[in-house]
Amino acid sequence: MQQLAIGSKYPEPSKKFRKKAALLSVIAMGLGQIYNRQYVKGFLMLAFYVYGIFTAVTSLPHALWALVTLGETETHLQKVGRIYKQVMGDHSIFLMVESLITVFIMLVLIWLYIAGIKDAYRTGKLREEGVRPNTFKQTLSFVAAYRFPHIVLAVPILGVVFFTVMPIIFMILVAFTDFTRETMPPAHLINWEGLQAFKELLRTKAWSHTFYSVTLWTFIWAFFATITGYFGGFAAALLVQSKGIRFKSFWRTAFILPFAIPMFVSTLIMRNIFNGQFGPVNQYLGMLGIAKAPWLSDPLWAKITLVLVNFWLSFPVSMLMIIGILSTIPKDMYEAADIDGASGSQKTRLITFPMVMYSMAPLIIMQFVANINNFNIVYLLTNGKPLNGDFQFAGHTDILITWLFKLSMEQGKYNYASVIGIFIFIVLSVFAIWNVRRTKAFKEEDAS
Amino acid sequence: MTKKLGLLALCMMLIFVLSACGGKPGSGAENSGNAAADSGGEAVAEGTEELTPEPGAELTFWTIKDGFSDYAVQEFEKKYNIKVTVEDVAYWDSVARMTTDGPSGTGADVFGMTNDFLGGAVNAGLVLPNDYFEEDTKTINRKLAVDASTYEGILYGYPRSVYTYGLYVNKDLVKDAKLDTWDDVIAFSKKFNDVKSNKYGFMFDSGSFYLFSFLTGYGGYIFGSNETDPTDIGVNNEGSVKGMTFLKSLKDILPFKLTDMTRDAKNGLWEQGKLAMNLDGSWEIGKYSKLPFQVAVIPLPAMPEGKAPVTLAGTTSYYVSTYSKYPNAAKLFANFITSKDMQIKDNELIGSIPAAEGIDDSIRKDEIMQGFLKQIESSRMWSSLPEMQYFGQYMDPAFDAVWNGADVKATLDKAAEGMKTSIGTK
Repeated sequence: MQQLAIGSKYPEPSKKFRKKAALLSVIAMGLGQIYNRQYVKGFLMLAFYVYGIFTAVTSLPHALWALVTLGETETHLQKVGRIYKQVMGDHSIFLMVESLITVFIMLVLIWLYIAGIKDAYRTGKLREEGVRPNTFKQTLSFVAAYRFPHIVLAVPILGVVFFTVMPIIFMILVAFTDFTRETMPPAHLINWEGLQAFKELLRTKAWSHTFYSVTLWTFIWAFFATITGYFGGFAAALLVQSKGIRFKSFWRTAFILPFAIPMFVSTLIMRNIFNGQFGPVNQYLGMLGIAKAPWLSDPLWAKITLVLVNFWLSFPVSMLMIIGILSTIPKDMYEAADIDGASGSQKTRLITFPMVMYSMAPLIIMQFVANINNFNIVYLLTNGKPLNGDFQFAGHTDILITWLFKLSMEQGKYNYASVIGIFIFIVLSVFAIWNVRRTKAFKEEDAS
Repeated sequence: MTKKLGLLALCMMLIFVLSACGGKPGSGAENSGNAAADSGGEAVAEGTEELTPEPGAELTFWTIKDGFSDYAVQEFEKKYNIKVTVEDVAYWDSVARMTTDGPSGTGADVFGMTNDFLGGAVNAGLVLPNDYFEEDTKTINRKLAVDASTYEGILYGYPRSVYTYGLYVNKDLVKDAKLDTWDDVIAFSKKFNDVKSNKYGFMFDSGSFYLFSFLTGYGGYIFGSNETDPTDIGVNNEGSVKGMTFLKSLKDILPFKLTDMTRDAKNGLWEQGKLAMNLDGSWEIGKYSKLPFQVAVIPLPAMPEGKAPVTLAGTTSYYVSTYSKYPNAAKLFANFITSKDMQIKDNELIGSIPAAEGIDDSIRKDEIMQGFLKQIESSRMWSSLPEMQYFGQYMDPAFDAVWNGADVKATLDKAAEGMKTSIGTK
């Protein structure tokens, strides 16, 4: 701003410009700018302000009514002679979404309004210092030159607000209602219930037992799935890259195959391969005279099978990454170790392992997070089976996300599903934020 | 000045956003006079005049596309000159889709649905009663199908066909073995079973829908008062326990876990000709008529004490959406494609079991169809209550547990308890 402003002092006694300008902007957006003799900008902002006020007056009361009551009239059928007619009432879910959109737009408007006040104040301050305010042309050229990235970024930011943040808020709100299949709009109205769903899920014996057991299994599953996949990949990478192995590219290709086949296909095939009665695995075991294993029909075995199949699907990715990291380790380290007479295992333990872990740690955490939400493999391989009569709508191998899916899609208990969704959201956010914070890029930005 | 960043850009964008949503907020109130309520219907208010389609009517129709649906739509378009757009939506997916698509105006005018979803659909306000053609529907169809399309005393559906399950028999394998009682089946299977080469005498789909027939045979039921009273749960009454105990005895000829006996595995063996008897649904008639071996259907054999299992049956009906802009045209269409002649055509083209009565002379004569007609006589319509959703949830684990050796009475008591809790918490 200052570098662009024309430095000539123009004859104006030093007045309290900034206070007046800010005050005028508080009264109405754009007035301060007009006072600061930025007429075009000022009038544009004023027009926008009038439009905003008009919108607020016409739609905000309805939006607030909708958010508070979630509708007041039920839809019902009325008989006219021999014929029934549908008499429309309020649709709670639509009302909720529409009023959320209105409230969000209002928040953006308020933010703009405050920005306008700040701008008027700053320009007034510059005038007090004897700097002539920018003309509209100058403002435009300044924005085009210095604020271009912000303008471009404004589009995705708005997108994030309306397509990411708002649906999340909506999901969170559902947890505080009685939205289930029994109260399906538009025939029924949905009501605010406060913490009722949380209480029922965490306090009722049957529900809480399911919730805690499924949560525990989710974490155990994520831990084992991540560890096996990662160390399996590590071992494969070390083997493929070790000295004296020929046809390295062939081995790499062979090991990457499980990853190359679409996971959907291979998981559904695995489901049949591991069938305890008709699956080839048990057929072959039977031929060898080994007892058949209940791969998918025994609770513990089914869990082990899940981890096994996941290992098979996920180790190639880790292997590829680790091969990449291995090639970056300086050779002279190993040469120095050789001169000092280190054994192979010492080299692996003291050089390779720390170097790889240093680069891979954030990726392992992200894999762990991804496995907490690994819907596909559980749903396609076991679909939560074997069944468990003690659980509410979950099987022995269901993880939180598949249980949530069953609750909402099969049972229509949207409020419970939403409570579980909030829980998953918190867990994942904690991991994700922690992971981002400890990356180098983030720390460097902080330091600057 | 920093905050000037996107000020202008934001202004421009917001003007667009606002103008896009500007019309929204008031719409909730204006909606109350929506098209469904004020479309022309004055003519039929008295109920004496002819039901005439609205001028310019166009219909969207959701069904499982098959030879019959194509034929019926063609005939209707010829007769009334109303365009019908057909979309392939399964009878068990339609309700979930209508719940969202109906209110937003992109749903069907007429859609197909199996009766276990009816209570939920009425509760969600998705279906218009079958008011104008009520008498016709009640005259031509079996009571069973009419009752299944009725909820809380009001008839909603236009029944097209009924379905149940029966015993498909591979005649090339069974030849002329006697199959009058389950003892015969067990005896045959014991001779026939060959685990090494995967040959089995008898298998079922392990869903509760199929297995519950053994419990109903001895007087078990899901809901009391002929499946209409959700407060009376009968899955653990004396008959149910007896039936479950009998079912457990079939383990002798089915030496594996229910989890492993998947539908895929069973159907694979059946189609390869390695399975002699297959308990499966009437919707497989079309497929199983074309197998390279001779197939017949026999009603389920008698259990000890001479009681035969009573199969659960369902009805596929068409329903008119409450959100239809052309309810008159939609009603005409739903009634037209489910008339007696149409049901005969349906049976001829794809082998559905008609919901209509008194047309036995004009339907297929083969052993499969005739077997199912007999089976329908000793079947029980499963409930249209919304509480039905809990049945599978609690009974599936119960069947699994009993099969794995749990105590019959205790397991069934637990399942009944679970159902009662879920229904009671409403």
